[in-house]
Amino acid sequence: MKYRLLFQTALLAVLMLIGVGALHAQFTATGRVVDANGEGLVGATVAVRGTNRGTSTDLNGNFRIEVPAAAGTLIITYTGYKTAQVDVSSNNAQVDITLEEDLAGLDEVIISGLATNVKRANLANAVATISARELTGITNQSTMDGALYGKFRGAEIRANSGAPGGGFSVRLRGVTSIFGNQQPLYIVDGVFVNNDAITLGTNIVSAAAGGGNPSTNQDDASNRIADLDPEDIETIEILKGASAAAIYGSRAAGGVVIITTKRGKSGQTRVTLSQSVGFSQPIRLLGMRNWTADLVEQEFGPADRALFEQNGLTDYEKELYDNRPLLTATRLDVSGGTDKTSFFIGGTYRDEGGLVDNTGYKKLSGRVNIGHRFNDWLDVYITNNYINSQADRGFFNNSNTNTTIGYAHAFTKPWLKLKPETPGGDYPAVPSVGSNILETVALVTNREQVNRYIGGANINVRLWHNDNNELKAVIRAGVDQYTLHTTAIFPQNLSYFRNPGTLGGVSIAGRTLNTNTNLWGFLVYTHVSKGGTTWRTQGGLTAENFDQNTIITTATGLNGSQTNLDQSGAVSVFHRRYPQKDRGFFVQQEINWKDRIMVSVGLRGDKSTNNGNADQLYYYPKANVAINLHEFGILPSLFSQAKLRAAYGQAGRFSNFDDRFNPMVATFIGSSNGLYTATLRGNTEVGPERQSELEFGTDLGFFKNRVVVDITYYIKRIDDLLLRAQIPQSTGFTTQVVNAGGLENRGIEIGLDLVPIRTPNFNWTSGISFWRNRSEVTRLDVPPFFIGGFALSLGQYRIEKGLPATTIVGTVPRDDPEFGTASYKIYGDAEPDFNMAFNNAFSLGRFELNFLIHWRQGGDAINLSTLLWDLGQLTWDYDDKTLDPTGQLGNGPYRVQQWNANRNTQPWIEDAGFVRLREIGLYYNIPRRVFSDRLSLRLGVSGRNVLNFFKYNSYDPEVSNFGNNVLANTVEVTPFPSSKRWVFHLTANF
Amino acid sequence: MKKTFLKAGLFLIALSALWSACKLENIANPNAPDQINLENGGATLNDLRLLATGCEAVLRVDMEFYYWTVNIVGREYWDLRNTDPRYTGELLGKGGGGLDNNGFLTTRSYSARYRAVRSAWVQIHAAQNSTATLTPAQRNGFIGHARTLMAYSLLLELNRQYTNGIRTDVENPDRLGPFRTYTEALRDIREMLDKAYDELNGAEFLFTSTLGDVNRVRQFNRALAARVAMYQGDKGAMKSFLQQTWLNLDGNMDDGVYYVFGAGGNNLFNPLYTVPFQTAYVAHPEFVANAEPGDQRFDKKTTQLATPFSTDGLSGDVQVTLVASNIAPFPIIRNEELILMWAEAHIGSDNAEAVKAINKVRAAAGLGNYTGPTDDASLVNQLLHERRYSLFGEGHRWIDMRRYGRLDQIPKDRPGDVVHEKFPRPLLDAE
Repeated sequence: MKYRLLFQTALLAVLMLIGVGALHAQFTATGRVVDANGEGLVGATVAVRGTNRGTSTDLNGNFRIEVPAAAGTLIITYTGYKTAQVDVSSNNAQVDITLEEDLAGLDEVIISGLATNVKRANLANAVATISARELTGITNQSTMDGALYGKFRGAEIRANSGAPGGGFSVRLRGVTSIFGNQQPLYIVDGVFVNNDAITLGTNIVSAAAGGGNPSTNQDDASNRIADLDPEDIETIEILKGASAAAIYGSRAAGGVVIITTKRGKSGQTRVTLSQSVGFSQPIRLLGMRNWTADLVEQEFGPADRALFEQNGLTDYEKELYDNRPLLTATRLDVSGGTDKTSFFIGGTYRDEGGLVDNTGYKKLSGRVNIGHRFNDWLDVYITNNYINSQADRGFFNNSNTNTTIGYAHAFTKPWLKLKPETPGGDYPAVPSVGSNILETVALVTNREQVNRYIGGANINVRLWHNDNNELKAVIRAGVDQYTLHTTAIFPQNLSYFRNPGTLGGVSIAGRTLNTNTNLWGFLVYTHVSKGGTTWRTQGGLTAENFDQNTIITTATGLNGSQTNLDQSGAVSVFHRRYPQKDRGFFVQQEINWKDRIMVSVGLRGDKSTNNGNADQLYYYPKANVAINLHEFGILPSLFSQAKLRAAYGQAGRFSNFDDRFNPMVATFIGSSNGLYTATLRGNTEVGPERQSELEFGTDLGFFKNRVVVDITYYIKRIDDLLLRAQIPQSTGFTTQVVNAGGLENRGIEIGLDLVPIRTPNFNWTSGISFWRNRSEVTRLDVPPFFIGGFALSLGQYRIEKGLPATTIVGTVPRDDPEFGTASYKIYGDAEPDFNMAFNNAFSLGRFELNFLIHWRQGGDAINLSTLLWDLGQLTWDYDDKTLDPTGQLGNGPYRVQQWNANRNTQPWIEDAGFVRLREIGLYYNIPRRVFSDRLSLRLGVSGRNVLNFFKYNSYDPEVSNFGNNVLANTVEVTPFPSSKRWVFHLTANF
Repeated sequence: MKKTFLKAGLFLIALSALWSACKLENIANPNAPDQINLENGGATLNDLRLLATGCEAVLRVDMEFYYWTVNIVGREYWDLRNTDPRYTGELLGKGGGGLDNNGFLTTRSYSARYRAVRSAWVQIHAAQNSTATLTPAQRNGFIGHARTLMAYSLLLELNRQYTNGIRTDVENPDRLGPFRTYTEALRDIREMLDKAYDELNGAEFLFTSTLGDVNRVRQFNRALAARVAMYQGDKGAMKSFLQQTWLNLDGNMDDGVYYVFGAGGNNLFNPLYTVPFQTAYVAHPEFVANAEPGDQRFDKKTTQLATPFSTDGLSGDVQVTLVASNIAPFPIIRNEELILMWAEAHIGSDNAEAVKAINKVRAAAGLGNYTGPTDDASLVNQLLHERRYSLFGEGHRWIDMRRYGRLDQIPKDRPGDVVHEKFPRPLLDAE
């Protein structure tokens, strides 16, 4: 067998590399490691250069280490501080070392192989990293997605709606797939964490996707990475493309998000208790037309005029959304440890109301991370996280039955009476709309509840070592299991379910049990040559199992007020099982020549049951090089850092579970079961998509890294693009899965980090990021096709060779010269022209001010909310005359006339660019010794999305009716409006 | 030293052993049976039964998009539900606009009808290749049944595509047959029906059909053949085909074959059910105005509203209530249509027989005999009137007016509205 041979070769290589170290004279060096204030740093690592000897500092920052020569160099590293080097000799064996804060983050440790790390300064990729301070330091976040916006270059992060409990999509360096799961792989402390958005089954009522299939991506489900508590996170690293993510092989084409949670440090036990209280409010309200009795009669006739005169106007938008729900969060952190054992305990309880009544998000999260060093060759680190959350999401997005709140709102005339005649009575039916929005808010339940455990173990075994060599085994295991309960209740007493012959009330109970397990075993061999070159070889195996089992039970014809599934006229069940097994291997060789030139080459091989042929191995190579020019000692002292880097890698993406099958659909008619064909034609030969990325760039630091510039350019090609080609419907199918396309993304990412002012009393640090991406379909073996949206006249995306993958198209207007000849017209591109983020942190004495501004220039969205409002003749800007070039028609009539008579799609395609003050926080710190020696306090107020500037004609340019579908995620249909948040904080450190 | 090498060696050996244990087998689909396997001989008798039942059930999938589009274009009724602007815009040719060749009004019905055709081919292939012990009569029962239903689905879509023509040979999805003109397609469908009729001759059903027993399915086959002959203007064939059906001038008008529905599980509710006073399907005012007083057909299929439904410049106060509940069956073809076809087949050759048949239908609706002139033209007018009320909502008005060249007589309700002659060929089939 191929792979066995490979292993024997690897073993041989390992054995050949192992040399026998010689013994030398030795002495003991001692000393103390302190920070700029002279306080001892606990747990700093002290190593002897050119050897594998190392120790860590004790509670006072003191260390003691044997140096196996007459003289040597100590290397002192500590997270958040610059690495220091000190020469010691038997004559000069006592040293005190002061560490400088690492402003540019060059000494952070970045994951470079499945079992190894590398310092950022030596990294050949532009890996984005953010720390806890950036993540949650400005303002606190209810879900992880909120913590990411605008903080990563090269990332397009987009919320699906403003509904409590999250729901977002991440696009790293452009569109990387058309039909595959585009979301990045999430790895938390070595555990493969599930991030699916699981259908809620509300389609039976909303009929958003037509038909009766409960599985739809239009029901605004949240994705499960939202469960993670951002407060637990120490760092997030994002591998944005294959050049860095190749080590994760065939799951990595969407990029990899590596999350490391907080770890205890030896030293005094620290207790942090924080409480925050705040509120949210709509970022925008749209308002109403200026109704007068005459206008009402003109638009809707005398009957409506009479109603208008009788009932007056009610601003239902205010009724629905203009609320100030309470946000509270309580957080407890306890951490500490001895030199052998460290622990971290974190607990959060969060209770946040949503803008709409009866919506909200509650989360209880608990974490225990324990590390123990048994002896000098074995250490174990265990992470445990339990999460219990509940999101009441309201009933929004598209509906073909006018039952979702947003959709029905677009047709609800403000003079209609929607409240019950008597409090507690039945809500009146609203036949002219289809549903009563106030009734839907009051009576409909749409809830997600999660019980989740994520646990990981990381075992390091030092099998053998001498002064120049080390052989280590690394074992990583993880499990992620959750149960998702979804509950949707549409009581029988809803006005549209009261009559016999309707569905008569619907109760939907969904249960998903998801289990991911992963086990990796690696051998890592490190050899430090006398010349100072480090050789590191690693190889190992990976195994991951996934199992998801979803059952959605839908009861219709409820018995009166009952919601139990039994108490109903009819019950139907939707059941899906998605088992998957992946197996792979990974080998990598890294060479570091004195931190001057770093080279690494690696290969991953993967097979999976999701491929047409489960046992076929697919290979993903990588290679990269980084050159630290400043380490050569030839640059002017102006340069504190000058690195050139280039990286190449390949990664893959599995086909979807169902792609390899031609399933028959179960049915029932008369008294018998039956089977008929599906609309998707499967492909038994289907394989993974392959992405190859070439990335190169430079990192430059000036003035002791007070000015740091990094520039990265990448070219990302995707081959064997998995396509669900729309095929002639006369085949009896509508779509077919084929590996038949190619896609290219090119982009640039620039970062500028500055420390303009640094004095003992006043500090200012500033970061500016810029990123842009351009995509192009480079190959298409199937006919070009439309995808996403609802219909060509309502805006769709076009996949065609030579066009960007995000091209938005529509029907050709009658007055267009191409009318009658072209089959579509291009109206826009969902890809932004560029993104910029401005991050500033000021500290003046005890005050801190931080803010983050995010500017997205351009990028179009399909705004179908406006269309619906226009059809209801209720749009806020219906009577404004800003659109019609002749100045005759109001905006509403003009849009509809253009669309209907002229077949112009333009009115619904809008610029979705924005500038927003994403986060702002102002804090006041009361240090220890003011109240007590043991207590320090931090008080503050922070906000999120507090200032928003955009032209987009709806609540928020960043919403998606189609959930996580990364390609079609710029279609809006009456979503849950987005909110801004204000929060007050009090944190006590003991 | 040796010990550590031993440890490392053991570790590596364990890893490589683990790797060779990592052989992955393909996972069969845990969620559904596989079509390819069924077609290639893997179908058991029970699978064949499932496929036969499925061939009937799949007729219901998206059937509403057929009936809605055809009935609304024929101005039998309007959809004023406001669920999609295209029901009152595109479908009624608002502002002179045409139909979108990639919009759901065009594609939903088209793809669903061909899905039914595909399901029928799967049943035929499965029956031909099955290793189950079957007599030729039993095998032919499965095959003739599928072929009859296939012809029905093709005929429905041909009604919409009209002179665009359709593909009638789609047996191999990788090698689709050519588009056949309207005339050729009608001929193909009639041949298909004839072939199925022969297959069903002496055949045995090993499954329970919602349409009826073997004989009823054969009769249904002939009823469809009569419809095809009617579209072809072949009155002689119409008469002989109709005599092979359950046509009974004195029989129950509703005797026929139906789409059937039910609650729960994988069953479907009747998508054409409208909740009285609630679902905004409104009969066209001309249909209301031209109804004869006391016509029970009108009373049975509509509900008078207190306040009208209005949207997009259209308004009506007579709601369409075609069926009594959301599990009530919906007709595919019934005796009333057979009688009216019988009448039509005799106009020009035996007008007295035509009048007799028309009067049977009128009597069943509680109306008096037809007393007007009995020349051919007058009888055609009367026939179209009776068909309009007898078959209201069943998808005939538009096609009837078209085949008699009277689309210009269909009322246009707003300035600029258009009566479409046919649906465009779907974009993907056009490419």
